[in-house]
Amino acid sequence: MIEITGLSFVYNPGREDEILALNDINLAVKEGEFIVVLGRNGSGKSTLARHFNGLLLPTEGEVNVDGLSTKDPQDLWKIRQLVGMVFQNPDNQIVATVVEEDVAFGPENLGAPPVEIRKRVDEALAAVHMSEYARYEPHLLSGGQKQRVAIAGILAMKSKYLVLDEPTSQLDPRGRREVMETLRNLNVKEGATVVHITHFVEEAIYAERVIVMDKGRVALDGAPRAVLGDVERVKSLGITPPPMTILAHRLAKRGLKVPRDILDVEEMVRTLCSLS
Amino acid sequence: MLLELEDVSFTYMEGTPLAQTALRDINVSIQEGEFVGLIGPTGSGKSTLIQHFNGLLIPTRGKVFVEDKEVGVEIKPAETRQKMGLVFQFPENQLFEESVFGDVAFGPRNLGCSEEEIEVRVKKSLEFVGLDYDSFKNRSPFSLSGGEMRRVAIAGVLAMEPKMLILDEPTSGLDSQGREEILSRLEHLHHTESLTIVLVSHDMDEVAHLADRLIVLNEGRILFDDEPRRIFSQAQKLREIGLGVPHVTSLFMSLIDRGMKVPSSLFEVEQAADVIVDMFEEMVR
Repeated sequence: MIEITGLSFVYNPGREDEILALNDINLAVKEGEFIVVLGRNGSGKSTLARHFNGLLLPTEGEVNVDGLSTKDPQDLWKIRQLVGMVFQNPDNQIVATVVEEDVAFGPENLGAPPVEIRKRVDEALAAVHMSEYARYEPHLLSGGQKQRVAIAGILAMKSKYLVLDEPTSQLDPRGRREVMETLRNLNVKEGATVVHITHFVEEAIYAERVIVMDKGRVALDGAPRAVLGDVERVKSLGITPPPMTILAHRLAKRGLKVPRDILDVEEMVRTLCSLS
Repeated sequence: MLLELEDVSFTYMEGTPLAQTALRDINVSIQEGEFVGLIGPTGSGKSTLIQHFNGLLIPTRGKVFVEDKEVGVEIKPAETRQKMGLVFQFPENQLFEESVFGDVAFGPRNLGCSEEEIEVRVKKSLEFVGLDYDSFKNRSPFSLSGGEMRRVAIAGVLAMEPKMLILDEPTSGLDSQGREEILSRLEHLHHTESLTIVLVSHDMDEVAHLADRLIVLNEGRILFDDEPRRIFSQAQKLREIGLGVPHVTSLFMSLIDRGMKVPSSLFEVEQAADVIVDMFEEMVR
């Protein structure tokens, strides 16, 4: 479990351009959860993400990963192994010239024996469906494939928690689908805990839990239906609700017996068919 | 005709073993005042194509005409670039001046405009993208939000007073608010200034709403060139090449499959609500 208590974070403390980026956050991420974090630019999403593995340290409060505090320098390496991060730009996080060597980078640094490394790399690439690209040069891959290699690198570290900071924002629709399917698959089949930060509201539909950040605070936290179905509230936090949810609201307002928390096309089709 | 491409093909590194053909036999023309959406999967040739629109690339075969003058023969590529304003992906990465004013003024200054003329153009361009001149002119571009930075970059291109504005995925990586700011400014520019716009996008809902014509590229060829509603009725074909259709279109296709009598060519949520309400009222009667 990742436990965050009373977390506040200030950029440039004591200076004129001081910014309170996180304001008294209390949050627990349980093992096996799939959480999507939404929020407009500047709401504190990325700052929060960087606290999960101690890339940033709290100004106030505490972040505990499986009982280890990020404030304790001795625990930091263990925490970074437990919590793996993937960032926005697929080109900035691949270090090797061959895909499998890039995935091996983590376990090599951990000092794993060669046979073990081989095994971990093969398993990690299989888990993200990239085995056939093991010997490719990374620059030949699409953006979605590169992000999957970055995810494999984390899996090879045997990280329990995957924190992804807008990994789909620079991808085309196909790449986005690949990454989302990979994450869902890892969550369901391998039991990975996923914290996925995104601007795409449709990626939140299939999460277990959606958190909306606003002005450094957790503004909403709940199941997708409860959070996104509150169209007016979500809009006021700078997020455009899913198109089918907006349509459901319009229909309900005009007197049709349609639930206001419909999230996707399939559900809308079922609802309309049952009405007729 | 503002822009015309005649049998254009383009091959990167032609004559080498690495040669790669990115465009094949493209014929397309764009009139003044059109709003064209350009869509296609990654690698379909979209970026290569728009670089032909403004003279950054010269075709391997075929001809490009800007205002009926052949690019590279009757009109210099440099002049083409001023007439056809191209906003690259992540244009905020190209901001470099200390003030917003300096950045937007860079283009007109290079064109040799007088300081007076420059100020007029900067003011106008910032207003077009919805940024207040007095409160933004002296700010550092790097102190702005992602959406604001991108609008400054677009203003820099507008200050060249182009005949056509070409934007390569201008909303990519922005949050909903930033996306809506940019799109509503484009809509405004098109309506009030009749500016010709070419919008490259991955987002079907976005282009469906804005463009009155869509060009779909696949493997370097034009697959469709038509009104959005006609193109979205080819959902199957679009899905085959890795593209989707707008959410509303997809809803209505499924309803038709289940025997409901609804049009197949809708894509706006507002229209969808009307059609569905009418349908149920009719049933009650």
